[in-house]
Amino acid sequence: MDDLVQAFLLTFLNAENFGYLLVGCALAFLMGLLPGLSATEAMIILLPFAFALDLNQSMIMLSAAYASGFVGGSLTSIVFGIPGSTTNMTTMLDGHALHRKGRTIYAVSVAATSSAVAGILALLLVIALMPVMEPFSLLFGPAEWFAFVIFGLVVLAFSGEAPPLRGLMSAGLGLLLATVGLSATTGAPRYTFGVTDLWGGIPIIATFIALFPITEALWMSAGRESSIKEDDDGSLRANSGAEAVAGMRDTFGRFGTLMTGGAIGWIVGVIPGVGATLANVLAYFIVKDTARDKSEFGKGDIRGLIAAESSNNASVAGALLPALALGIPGSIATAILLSVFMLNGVQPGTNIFSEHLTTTWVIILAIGGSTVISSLFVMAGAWRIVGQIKKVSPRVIAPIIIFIGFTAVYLARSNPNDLIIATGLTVLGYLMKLFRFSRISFVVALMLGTIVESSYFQALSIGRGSYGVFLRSPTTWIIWCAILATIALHLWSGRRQRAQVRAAASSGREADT
Amino acid sequence: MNGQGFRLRHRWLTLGVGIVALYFALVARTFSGSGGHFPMLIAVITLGVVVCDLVAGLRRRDAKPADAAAEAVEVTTEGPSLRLELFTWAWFLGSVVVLYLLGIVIGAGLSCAAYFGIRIRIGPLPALLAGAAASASFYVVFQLLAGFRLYSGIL
Repeated sequence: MDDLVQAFLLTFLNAENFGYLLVGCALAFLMGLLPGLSATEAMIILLPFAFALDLNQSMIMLSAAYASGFVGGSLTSIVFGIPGSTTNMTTMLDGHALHRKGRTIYAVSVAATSSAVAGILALLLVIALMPVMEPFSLLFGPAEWFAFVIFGLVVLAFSGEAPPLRGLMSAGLGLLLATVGLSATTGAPRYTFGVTDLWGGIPIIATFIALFPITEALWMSAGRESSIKEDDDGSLRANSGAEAVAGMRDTFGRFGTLMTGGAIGWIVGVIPGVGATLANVLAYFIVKDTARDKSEFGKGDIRGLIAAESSNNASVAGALLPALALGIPGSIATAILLSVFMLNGVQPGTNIFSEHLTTTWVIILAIGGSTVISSLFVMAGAWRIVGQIKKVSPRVIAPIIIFIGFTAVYLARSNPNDLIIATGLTVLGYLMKLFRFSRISFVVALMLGTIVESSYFQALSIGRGSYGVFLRSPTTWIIWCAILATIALHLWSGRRQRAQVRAAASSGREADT
Repeated sequence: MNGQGFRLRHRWLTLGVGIVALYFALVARTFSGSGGHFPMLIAVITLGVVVCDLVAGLRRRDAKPADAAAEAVEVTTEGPSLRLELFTWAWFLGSVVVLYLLGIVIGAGLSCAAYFGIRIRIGPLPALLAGAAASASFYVVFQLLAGFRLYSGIL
């Protein structure tokens, strides 16, 4: 308890430290607003400054940035219809639909409330579960991890974002391109055409930026119907305060969805390497698939928005557990936090809860505090920011989005050849959008491909080459059954829909005759 | 619009994915040790899905009008004029070349000037001013304020 009080005093009541929290919060929020940039880039910018601070101060600043970027990203997803980062991918589906209906403030309020409430509840769960973290992690070996990622990809493919077969093809293409580069098993280059820049694989940040913000900007510039719309100013004419309050009230009115999204985000976040991106898409599509009335999803259903925003913030808290307790970073962001620990001579592991409990509390409080502060900021000032953004014609900002995208592509690795790779990926992204392939499935598969392959070989190695290893534990059985259930559910619902269409068509013909 | 031609016309990318998967499978056989095992597995599964999609396209030749209409919407959403599409891609690819040769700050300025002058049609002088403003903004925000070292081009 003394550690908690001390951490609270350090984080919120020390003016200098609170200033670092605000700096991390503000920078990550702004980065989250820019399409293609995220909290990770903000943390990378802050890293040199963090080296000059003590452990607690640097953790306050970086943890605040870690959580705040998600909230900023949600605003971009809602207003522009392009995700501020991969972790806000599904936020745009219903959030932007609400924006197009002129309910921007309402959507922002729902997103901010979901982020804040789920983020805080998830952190409380982390605190409660700290002691039992290590046994849980032992449930997930390579076979379980492999099965879980396959489950995620199947759910994505059948999510309705694209026809199921095209969703599966997108995931397959993503997994194939993930094998480009040095082999994890033999160390030999594969599919690199002699280009050494490809030895590290297809750059993820370039892929994400090319497939989403740049493709969307080109799509819009070419005069195609775009998700970036020139809307009327309904949301600005509306009573902003009333809309914000309505958003909060309706979010609490859907508390079950909030808890479901938060729980999925938290569980996915706990599993090392998965991160907020998969949490975001899984939560959205699970909530959608289990809803009785799915007709409004993608058209401005707040259940979709709540699921998307509660899951990514909850996953931040979940990801802290393996990072702190086991020293396993689940993302670049948690890897940065761990690197700062190690630079200060602290080895993360189970002993961190006994020997550095104050710092652990500081991280938790900074994440909670920055989530609440950035959410409040969004609700208090969002309509002014949105108002300024909405005055700019989307066609005008298309080249700006493209150049910010290319700048981010370059800054990620300081490699100019990534610009060429991003150009090729933009062509692919445009074709995928044109032919209704799933860009989300593709990106997630590409991101997780290396880990899937490593898990696949590790599992086979444990099973001495026998594929039976993938069905050996109860956890894998549960996951494979979930995969089969997902496929069966979609086949059944597809057959039922076709039968309904046939019945409607035949009754129409009978009426004609 | 119904018929086999219509169906296959909307599956060019499926064929493209099939060719990529086939290439990955063929090359995977040349890798030593276990390096080709995983890509071969994924390529074979992907090829299977590609075949399923192509077969589904062929089998639905006599499909319900609702399905045909839905599929038509998939690829024909508010098609732009060919001129606009060509301009957009020519501008984009030209911008990448300029960016690669002259760097981000100058490239952003020139490309934005071209875009505003031709696509938005705001006149030569305002377009040049907009380009200059874009260059200045990129330099000030990323290089001066954020402290990044922006790409300066190969020339």
